Amino acid sequence: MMELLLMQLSNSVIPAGLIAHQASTTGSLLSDKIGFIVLGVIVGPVLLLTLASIIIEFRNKSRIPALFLGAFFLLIGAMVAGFAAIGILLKFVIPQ
Amino acid sequence: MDILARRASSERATSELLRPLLRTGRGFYFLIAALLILVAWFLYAWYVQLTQGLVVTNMRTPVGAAWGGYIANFVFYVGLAHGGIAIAAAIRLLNLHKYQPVARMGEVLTIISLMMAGLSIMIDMGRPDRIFNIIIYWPERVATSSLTWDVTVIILYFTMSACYLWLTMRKDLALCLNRFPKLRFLYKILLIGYKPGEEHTINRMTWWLSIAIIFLVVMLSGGVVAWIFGLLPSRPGWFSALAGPYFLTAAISSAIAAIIVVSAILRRVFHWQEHIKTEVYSGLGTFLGILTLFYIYLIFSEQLTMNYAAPLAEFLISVKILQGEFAIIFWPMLIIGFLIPAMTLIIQGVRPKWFSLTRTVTASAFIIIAFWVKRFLIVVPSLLRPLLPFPEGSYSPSWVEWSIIAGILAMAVLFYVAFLKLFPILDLSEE
Repeated sequence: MMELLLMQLSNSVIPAGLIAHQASTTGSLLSDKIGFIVLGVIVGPVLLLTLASIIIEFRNKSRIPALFLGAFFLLIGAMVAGFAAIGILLKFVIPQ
Repeated sequence: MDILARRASSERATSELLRPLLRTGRGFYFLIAALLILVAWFLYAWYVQLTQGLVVTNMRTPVGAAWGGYIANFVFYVGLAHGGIAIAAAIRLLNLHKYQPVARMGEVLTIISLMMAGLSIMIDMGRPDRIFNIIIYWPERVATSSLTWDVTVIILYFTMSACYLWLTMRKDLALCLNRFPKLRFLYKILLIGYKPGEEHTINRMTWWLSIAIIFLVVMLSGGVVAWIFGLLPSRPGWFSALAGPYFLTAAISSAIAAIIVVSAILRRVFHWQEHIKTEVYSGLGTFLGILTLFYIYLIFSEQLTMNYAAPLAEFLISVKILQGEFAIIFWPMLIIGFLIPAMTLIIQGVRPKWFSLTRTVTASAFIIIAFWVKRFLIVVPSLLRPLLPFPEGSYSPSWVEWSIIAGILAMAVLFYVAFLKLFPILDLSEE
């Protein structure tokens, strides 16, 4: 938007009024929520496929899906805890 | 008698496959010592950076490049992380059993490369002690920040890959349980809940997971990593819809090249010529050659767009790369790093009697180096052009940056060697 406004100030050939009007009234599709769309597109199918693999085997009364889920959440938890631990540890090294 | 002979033969084959765990030569200790020295040097360099700040690097803003070798390193390792697990998943989905021996080597490469990518990013941060803010502010950043999407997808990819590796390794760990008493404790933890015959369930589950992982490969390297650059309109040279395919091709090519090099080294060191046939390298090499050639086409396409009638800023970035200060690394990268190796690999594919393993590995090694250089050329030249009326800066990594980049590589090799000494790297159940 800012670019368009600068263009209309610097170049009189461009129909400045029209562009300025468009810039003020046009917004991109869900620009403030685009991240949810992107992550939905990526994480959604992955979760569906993973769930498909788990549900089918849960029906077969296998313990592997439970183990997989356990490992999955354990690893994510470990990573989050790891971030916290590294942050705390580095506080001792970096002058505060 | 026949049964006894078959059992003896199977036992011999298993011992061959477990060679890294059974034998420890003098070379191993030399290698570990050398890697530890490099890692210690890396820790010292990082300590210098942590205590004195990023001023010890040559990254500067607003005059100069705010991102440099570390970010190039990050993109490079994310790329390496793709081939391994993608190959393993493709083998499972498409029944490409010929490539099975290199599958786990690739899976391990994926896990270690992702760790090194994360480390590269952490080192690039001015205040890595605030790293937990990534988690704290995740909910309010995720709507608009492409960096937050990156963190999310990388964590998901790492978790999926690690779980995939763990599931597919369980049968082999069960086979090794009684063979290595010193590692029994570790194996028992990883074999929690193990029941003989669970492989059928695991095979069915990993089939679905393979599809999920291949999808993640496309959306990570061809998606969120590429979009860190491709979505920024203010940076000439980055803003492009081509970024996704461009990064994805680079990622898969560099990863296949890395698998060729790593597996060829292991094949030679552990005398696995019978288990990893040359056809594996012939197939991977031809595919790598074609992909690299396709990447050259993408480079041409990008440079043509930047030169034909592009905005001035885009054109000037292209001039910087093709004729300016970066030409000295661009042209050798293009010709020696991409074109000659790609043509060599393709010619070998067309004329199988010209195939040479040494040539294939050498070409792959050149391609890996060229892809690191390419990542550097993606990151740096665009940043050197200031957005406001400041003079143009210059950038070449400082000794701290080179030390850290070398140390990260040493750490990756160290982790790989540690895995070799702890777990079977070849699929024992195939024998």
